[in-house]
Amino acid sequence: MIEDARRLPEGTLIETDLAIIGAGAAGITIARELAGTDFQICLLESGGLEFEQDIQNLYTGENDGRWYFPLDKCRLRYFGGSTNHWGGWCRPLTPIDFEVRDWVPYSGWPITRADLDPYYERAQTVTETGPFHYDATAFWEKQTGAKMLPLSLGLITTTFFQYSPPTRFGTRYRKDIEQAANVRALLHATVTEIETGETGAEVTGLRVATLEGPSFRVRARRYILATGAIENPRLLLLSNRSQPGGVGNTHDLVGRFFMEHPHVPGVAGMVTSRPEAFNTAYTQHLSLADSIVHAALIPTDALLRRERLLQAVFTIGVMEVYTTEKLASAAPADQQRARDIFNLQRDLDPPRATDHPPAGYNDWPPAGALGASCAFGCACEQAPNPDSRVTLSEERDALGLPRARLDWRLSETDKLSLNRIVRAVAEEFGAQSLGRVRPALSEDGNWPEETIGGYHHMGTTRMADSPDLGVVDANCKVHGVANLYIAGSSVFTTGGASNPTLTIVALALRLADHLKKQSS
Amino acid sequence: MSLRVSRRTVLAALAAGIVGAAIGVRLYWPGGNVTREARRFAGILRHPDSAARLGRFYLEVNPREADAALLVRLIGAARGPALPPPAPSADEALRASLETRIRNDFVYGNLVKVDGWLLSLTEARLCALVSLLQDATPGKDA
Repeated sequence: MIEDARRLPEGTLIETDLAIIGAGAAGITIARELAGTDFQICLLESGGLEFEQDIQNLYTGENDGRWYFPLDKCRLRYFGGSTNHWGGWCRPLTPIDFEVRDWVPYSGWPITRADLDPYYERAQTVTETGPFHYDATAFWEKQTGAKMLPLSLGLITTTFFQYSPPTRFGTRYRKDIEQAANVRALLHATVTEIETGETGAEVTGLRVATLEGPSFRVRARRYILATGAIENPRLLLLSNRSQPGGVGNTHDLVGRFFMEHPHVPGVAGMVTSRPEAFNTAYTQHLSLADSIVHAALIPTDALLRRERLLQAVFTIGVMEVYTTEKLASAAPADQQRARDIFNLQRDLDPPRATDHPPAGYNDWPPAGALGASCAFGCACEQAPNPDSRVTLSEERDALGLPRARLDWRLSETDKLSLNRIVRAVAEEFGAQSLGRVRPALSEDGNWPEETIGGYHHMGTTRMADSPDLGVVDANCKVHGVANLYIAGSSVFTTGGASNPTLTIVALALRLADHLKKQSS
Repeated sequence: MSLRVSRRTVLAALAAGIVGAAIGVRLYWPGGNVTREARRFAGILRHPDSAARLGRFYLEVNPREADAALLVRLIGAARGPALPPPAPSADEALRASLETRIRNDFVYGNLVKVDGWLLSLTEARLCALVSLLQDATPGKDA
């Protein structure tokens, strides 16, 4: 059932088996998984069923590092959480992303991709995506009837995104929550403190407030914090009544290692004189019978290992289709140069036989296209950095709680890695006469000012076997706190270059299974 | 623009390590007239104005290569099969040989930035050759 907490009597004490803080992708997934079990669940959501500005304002925070989006614009604080504005991009982390990579400080999850695979498969259903195939070029070639790019140097390979409709968890799964007899969802219920005993070894309750209504408490056997990678550490840090550093923060790790996927708009330009080599899947979302896919490019594991690089993923956007060899004389210099490159390729790169996709499927290339000017979109991995972090601000929100302060940092190493991968794309494309690439990045380690994130907050309660290196263990339980778990991308040990939602859902399913096993 | 190979140019190129890149690779020394060889190479490109514009960018950054004979030799020295001797029917063989060199440049990472574009060293030098020829023939499109 779903209730409005503003109607509770002041000082109510709710006792339950499991309290889940946050009704976003992770919280709703766990509640759904445990619906119909013996667990009595209280799902606490700060917002209502729709957007409300005064609730959203609770997200307002400070940015203290490199430029970042206003924090209240990054997440949505109502039932369904940020899936209410999610773009729907799905892709799992790759196996190497979970490994200890000796060239990436603090890398290495305590779980492997194989551990997560069964949950990724189930997450496909939750996110309403297609079959669990992402890096299987042969599978998608069969599905689409088109050949993927003939990349041959072993530097870059094709991968695939799948698109969720996107699933708005709050609307799509609202009925499941309403109808679950063992789930009590409380709206407008903002947790203001996680209470622990004097030792901090166990959570004893939650203090909960409504903006202009009652305050109450929730007492549970277990608690799951699922409010995102900025709010999760914020709530742990501000819950410092008995533990001065906050809950679960004995090793001063809570809030550290904030990671994003740096996006550099137009990270490189590309001109091709072989448009027929790029099938529709590379240039736009491709709707198939049971899935929507988009082909993208990633570095091979061999390149990452050999040259000690970080992950990245590139998509291709078509800027202009060339249907003639000539260009208007008044064209800007950059367009003229791109056309010069196009002409050079037409002179030097021989036409090749290409496997054309079947009629009816293929919208690319358009009729008469001789070539195209394109731009790469890019999201890349940043290495975990303890100085990139979330702390508490001096400012307070409407409930009197310290706001979050974000200090997002990127390193020169992160940037140099991206530079090399862009060059690898140029090498692969040139070797197969697919195109010529113009990197838009400086060759040094300085990130361009226009570098932005992808609204992908990760890492601030990272997963590690050792409490010296992480806030949660392999089961997402907070080290040193017997009954507190964390769900969401704040537990990511490293971020890879995949959009996080599918992994968030997979980890939530895994945590739900863990709780079921513990219970039984 | 002189199309002769001067001793000074060769020494400068050696000092820059350019010719050194050809160690272990068969050097190509055209036996015929340098201008004819340069024109034969440049003739592969059907869009000389585009190539010349790119070539000028290359030579701005690599002024020591502003010598057609040197460029002909450097292109010949790149990784690839032997260039065919001049003959009426040799154009396709020459094209194929140059294409292999260009591909090898990408395979072995021999890339150069030309106005920001990552080009194969061989194709950039071909462009430079075209620009030299154009500039040496005022008023006439090479």
